[in-house]
Amino acid sequence: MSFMPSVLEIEGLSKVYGSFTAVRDVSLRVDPGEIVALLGPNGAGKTTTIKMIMGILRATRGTARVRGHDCFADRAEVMGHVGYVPDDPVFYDYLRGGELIQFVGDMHGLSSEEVKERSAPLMERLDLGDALDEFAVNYSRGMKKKLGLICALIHRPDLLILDEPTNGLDPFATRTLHDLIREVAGQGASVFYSTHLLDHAERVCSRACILHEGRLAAEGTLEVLQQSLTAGGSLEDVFFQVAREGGADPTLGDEPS
Amino acid sequence: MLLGRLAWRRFLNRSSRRRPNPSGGGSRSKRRGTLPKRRPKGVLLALVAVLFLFQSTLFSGRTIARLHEVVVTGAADEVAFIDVNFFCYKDLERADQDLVALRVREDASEAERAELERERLEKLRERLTHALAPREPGEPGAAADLTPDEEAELARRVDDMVLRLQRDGIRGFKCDAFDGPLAFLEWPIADVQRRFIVACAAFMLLLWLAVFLASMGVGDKNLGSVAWSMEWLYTLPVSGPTLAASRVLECSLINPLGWLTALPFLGVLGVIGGLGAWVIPMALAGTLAFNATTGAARVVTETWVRLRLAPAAIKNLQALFTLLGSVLLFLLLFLGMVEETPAWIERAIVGLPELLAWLPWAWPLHLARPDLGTTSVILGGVGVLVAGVLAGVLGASLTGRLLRNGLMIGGGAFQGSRAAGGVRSSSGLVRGIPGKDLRLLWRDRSSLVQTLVIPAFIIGIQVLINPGIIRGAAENPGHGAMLAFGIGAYVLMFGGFSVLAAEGQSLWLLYTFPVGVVKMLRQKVRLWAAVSAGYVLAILLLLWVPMGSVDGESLWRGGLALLAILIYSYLGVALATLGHDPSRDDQRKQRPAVAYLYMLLATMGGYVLYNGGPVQVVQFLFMAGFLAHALWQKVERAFPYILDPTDLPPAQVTLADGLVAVALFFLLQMVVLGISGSVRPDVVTLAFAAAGLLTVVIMSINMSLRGLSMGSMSGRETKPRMGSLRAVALSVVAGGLVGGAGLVYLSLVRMIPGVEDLLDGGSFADWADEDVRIYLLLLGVVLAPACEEPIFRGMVYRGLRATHGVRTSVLVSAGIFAMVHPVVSMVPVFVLGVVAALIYERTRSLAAAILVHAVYNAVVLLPA
Repeated sequence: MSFMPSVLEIEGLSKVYGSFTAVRDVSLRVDPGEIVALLGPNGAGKTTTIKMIMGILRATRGTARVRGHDCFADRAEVMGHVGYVPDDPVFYDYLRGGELIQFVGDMHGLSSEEVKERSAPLMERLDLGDALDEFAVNYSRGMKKKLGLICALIHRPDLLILDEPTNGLDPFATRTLHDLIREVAGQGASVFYSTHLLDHAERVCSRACILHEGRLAAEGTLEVLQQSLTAGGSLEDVFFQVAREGGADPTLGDEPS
Repeated sequence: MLLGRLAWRRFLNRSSRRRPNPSGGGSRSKRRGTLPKRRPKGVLLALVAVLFLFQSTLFSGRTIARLHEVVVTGAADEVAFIDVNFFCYKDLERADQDLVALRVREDASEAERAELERERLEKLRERLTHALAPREPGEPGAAADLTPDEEAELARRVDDMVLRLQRDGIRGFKCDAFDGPLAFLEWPIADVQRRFIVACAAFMLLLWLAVFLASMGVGDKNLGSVAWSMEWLYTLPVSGPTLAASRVLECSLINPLGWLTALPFLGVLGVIGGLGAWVIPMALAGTLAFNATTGAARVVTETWVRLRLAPAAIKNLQALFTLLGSVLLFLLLFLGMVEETPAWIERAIVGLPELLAWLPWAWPLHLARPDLGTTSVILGGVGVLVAGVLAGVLGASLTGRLLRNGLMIGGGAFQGSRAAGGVRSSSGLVRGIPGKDLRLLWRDRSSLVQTLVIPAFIIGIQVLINPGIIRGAAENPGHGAMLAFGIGAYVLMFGGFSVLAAEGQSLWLLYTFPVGVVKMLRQKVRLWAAVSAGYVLAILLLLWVPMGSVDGESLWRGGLALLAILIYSYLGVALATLGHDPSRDDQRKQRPAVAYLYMLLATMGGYVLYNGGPVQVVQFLFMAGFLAHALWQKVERAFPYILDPTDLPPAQVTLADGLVAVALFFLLQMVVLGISGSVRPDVVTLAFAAAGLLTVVIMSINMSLRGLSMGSMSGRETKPRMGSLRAVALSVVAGGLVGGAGLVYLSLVRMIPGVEDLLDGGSFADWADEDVRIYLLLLGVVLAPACEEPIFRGMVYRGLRATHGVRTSVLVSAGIFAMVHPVVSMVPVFVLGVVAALIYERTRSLAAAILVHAVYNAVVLLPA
């Protein structure tokens, strides 16, 4: 529908661990400026999908491409366009927050001035400024998430990938995060994030993909999902509907099982 | 029961290669455990443990012999011993026992006893005379004819010994054969038995301290990492002391250092104490008690430290533990290694207070006393075990007391300053990966000490204890080069080997950068190459500067040591990376077998630098370089997959396969030749054929196990690019041309005076005889091409081509091909290698390469 080329294109993506299929033939695309939520219960394959986009895992079948680069084969190229915060970001225990940000900036080829300039407003908004001299070992989970977010945004990526971004964040930080996500999208970048918190998704995303047992069970804008599945119900109703049926709604036609 | 199961479960989890699921399993998903990439290596680990135990036993024997020697020499001032050899000593001992038995015999009269005693002494006199008589040279067993003077002298010596035996018994003698292997170890005579036990007790005490300190050092996860295993255990419905007891039990059972040091030490003592089969339970009981006391002390200290100190301070303390433990262990090892005991150690051992014999660490030692009966040994063993258990209980209750106010009395997660600060700009030197690594190393004091301080310390101690070592190293160029290389290799062993372990759980961060991961790894190699080369250079300068001038040999050996350490930094990091498994917990990420392999390679390198000739050293370095390159190729292929728990790069022929095939080929040739013990042409031909065939078969099996077809070995997986007739014509012409050129070269070279000497035994020159011509042709025209082409073109060249362009692959494979040939024919063989590889590349047919090789050999050999 969009005339611009997609930022993220996933086609027939599958991942098999031994005899267990974690992700099964998932296809989706994310266009510039879109905020796409990846929904699903625990163990649905959300993190596996994200790790394949990050080139950490190799897809057993299918491809994931960011700006036309293959996520596994051209990993280094892809990473220039992507910012990523994992579900549980672990940092070097004895590096201070500020040093970590500087290190990430170095690796993205930014000068110290650029790093300072870009990180200062983020730190201000995420209320992390006074913890920057602290070793990462002393950070709480929420602080690590915030630090991860600053690191992921420092190089102004085209695509921000967040795995369960609100895990461990307090309500203030959650609101700030949602504001940030909207701002990033407003500046033309895309956001692709996984969550199992449906109300959060409802608040910010423009489109949602629901994974169930590794399959893409439903996909579309919130309005489409709500109308086609539960006739005006909330996203929560949609989610339970999909989970109950254990598969796709044939009317959506994305992934008949 | 719960405690035992917990400890056992932890032990199993730590030793098995089971891995957790990559992500939490949903309750509804039918999730099965994922298949691990590699098979368990438990056998190898067990083998390594047995090897260590064996080495440790030998070492204990030497140390005990040393202690014995010092004790006996120390006592020599008070008791004037007669020095005798082992065999005389045994005779005297037996006679002494007989005499003692005689004196208390009730059934004989005084006169009868005197008569029997006289007979016994006469027998002893005969045996001693026989044992001490000079031997006819070259005729062992036959006594030489003695001059009357010599005879009188011998009789006087024997009389002295008999008189002494009558006066002092066996205690008047000293056996001088303690330096030999275990069989010559003796429990000391009664006079110095007590002193011996005191010396051994002091050793055990120091060993205990060293094991305690070292186990609190770098290896201790509970001190080293942020998470404390107690935090989770504390949430279980079990009381504090019970938890502490489980931890004590765990530390007592799982203490590799304790098992590897105390067990052999006590075992050797038991053997020389004549315990027989009781040695095993005695040594086990003693070691268990030893480990229980270490475990208890460790748990108490660990808990106290975790409660009172901030994480950063704990790291510093741990560094101190590591340093003290390593230095102490080194000193104890030194006692067994050094040629001659330094005087101050001797004085210290002789001056030890008797009280030491009653310290708990000495209790197991008393059990080895030969004058104890079996019952006493059993009772004593039980006593030692009970003491161990008591120590454990004491430790557990102390720990329980420490925990009475909860786990977190030291403060929460936030400690230290939270001063407002911003992002600090980093200076040019410490930017990027090397900057981050150096910063982390600087802050991780315990790794810093282990990696950079201990090598310097060990050199320092050696110099202090034994100044001659430096002089010797400076005077012997090989010695100096080996010392410098050894220290560099040690630095790499801890620094270079931990390049991935240092990333820990943060490895994901590297994967988010727009830089190739292998490129980052290479930056790390360069960092460690620079650091270890710095050490090598520093030691070389330390040796050279006091001498004022440096001779040529020192210079080239030193230079090659420097080059070797650069190669080894790639080798070490590649090995560590290939043996690294990020899905395992921090402590077990590195496969020990890989470290062992590295140590083996480093030992080989040190040895070659020590006494290899220039050509040998260069050849070795070339091979090490190729190995490093081959391993890097594997790393480059495997690294993108390292965070994927199940996936591996697609199977492919690699340079490592090629090198393995080359090594196997030559090893098998040597084995076959070694078995037959002959260099006759027919035997050599057979050896060559057998080795070649076996290598090709083994490698084919290996390939097919990895899912590569036999076809890929012979190059048939890709379609030939050229019509067969054209390929044949091209091969024949090329082989002929190269052969002709080779022939010209060889005849030119032979004209240079002195070159004939270089054509030593193995060359074809000796085979000019008509009778063996058929073997020569069979070998050269059929066997060599048929065996060598699959190896050098089919595996080495293909392996290189997997990641390199045509030019590099052709030159390097031809270089390896030439390296394994005699010096005189290296140049033409190199050209042959280049042409064969080019034709293989052009035609994609191994048959064509074989044909080139066959034609070349035919042209070169036929006119001979």
